[in-house]
Amino acid sequence: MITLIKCELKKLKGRYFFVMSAVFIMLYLAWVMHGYDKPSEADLKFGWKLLLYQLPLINTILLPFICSVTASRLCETEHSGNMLKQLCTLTSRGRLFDAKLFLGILSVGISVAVMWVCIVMLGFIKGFWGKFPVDLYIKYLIFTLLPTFEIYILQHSLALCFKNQSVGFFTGIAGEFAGVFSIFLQNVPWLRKLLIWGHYGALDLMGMYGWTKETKFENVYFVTYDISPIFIIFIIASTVLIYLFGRYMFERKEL
Amino acid sequence: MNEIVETKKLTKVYGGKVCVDGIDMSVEKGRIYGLLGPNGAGKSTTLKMLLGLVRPNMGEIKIFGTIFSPKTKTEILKDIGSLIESPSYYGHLTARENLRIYTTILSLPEKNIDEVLRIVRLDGQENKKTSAYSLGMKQRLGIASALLSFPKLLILDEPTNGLDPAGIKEIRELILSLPKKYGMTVIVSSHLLSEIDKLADDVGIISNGRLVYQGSLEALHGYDSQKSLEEIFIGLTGGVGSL
Repeated sequence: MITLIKCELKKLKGRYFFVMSAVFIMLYLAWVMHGYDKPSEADLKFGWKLLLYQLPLINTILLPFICSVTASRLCETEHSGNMLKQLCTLTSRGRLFDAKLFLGILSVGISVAVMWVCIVMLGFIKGFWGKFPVDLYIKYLIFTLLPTFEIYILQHSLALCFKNQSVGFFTGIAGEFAGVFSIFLQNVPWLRKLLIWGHYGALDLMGMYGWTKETKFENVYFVTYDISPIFIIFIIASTVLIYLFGRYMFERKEL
Repeated sequence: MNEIVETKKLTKVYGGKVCVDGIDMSVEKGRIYGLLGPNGAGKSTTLKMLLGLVRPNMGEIKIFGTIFSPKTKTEILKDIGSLIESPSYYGHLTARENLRIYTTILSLPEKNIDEVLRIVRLDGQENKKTSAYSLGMKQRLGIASALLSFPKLLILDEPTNGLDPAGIKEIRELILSLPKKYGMTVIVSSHLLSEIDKLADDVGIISNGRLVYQGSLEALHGYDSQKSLEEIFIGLTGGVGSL
């Protein structure tokens, strides 16, 4: 397995893979920071909670796209070079699937962690009021990583099983729209739980109430949501199922 | 055991169409076996089944005396080198870097890279990106990667495709030298009768997914003394395909 991961790293030479990841991180941070360019008093007062309220939507829009492009970038090289036919005679398909997946998961995982660190730094630099809610932000990090890994495994399976990379790309885009849609459908909470792209919204830790156009933040209050452990188990189980199914499909693929 | 490859009733069906129809193939150790047949006859599918890239619907494959199955596959494939259809390469890497991917996976020494590059005459070109290679050079790189572990069995699917006459001659001479120099058994497929005639010790002729002839090239020449090799081939395949 380590040998295969080494090979994957060798294949990245000249592919600007890490540059791509850095660009994604910058794009994400630019979006988040844009809203705090000239923070109002309310922005600073509610800063830590406001961020937790806003980030799941940004994650639903950006992270599936990042997963889709990362998976495609890692797997497309095998299709364009006609390499799968060779590699599958040199090593087991399952190990090949795992090695590529490991690298992809590591890449998106590190990206999400870097984004998290930068967001926390943003709060301190801008001078958000109150104590930094460590426990909530650690929960947020875990609840961002879980759906990201879930979506990444799906994108990885599609990118490896289909020569035509647009299959994975369009699935990612369609899922992303469905995920955003599910967040806005407050009356249909099961939809965001069912859709893997809606899981960022379903794992939302913060609710904001009392905001109107007229009164703005005057009567605003925040509610911290408890996430059911059963739902977390459901997400982990769904991630494992996507992994097993993707791996099985790749092992069965005729080349 | 003198048979390196043996298949029994090997069958592959794609969407209701039988592409390989109950093939009983037998390849002897140290020989060059030419798999001859028109385009679309089922040569590549047969070879892919031998490499586990395609699952047969029916039949049995025995390689090195072991039945080919998901359990034995990895162990068997360690001793097989292959080039199927078009050569495989990472265009953004050099030939040496490409070959290094294989040596890393197979835990082979670096000197193997130098040796195969010399054999396929790509030494001196190994630090060029393979995307800049000509088709002939890519084909030779494909053969180099198949030779890298100096396998017991080499499977080459149309290895002279797209090569100019000088390149074809070069590859032919290389294939002819392999059994003597390295003790390899070679299965080579082609739709060109003249090519197989110059290369093979034994021949299997496939037509419409069926193995219509199997035997030594000498026996094929003597199949019908009144007819030329071309006429014999046309008679066996029912006149389908090119020569």
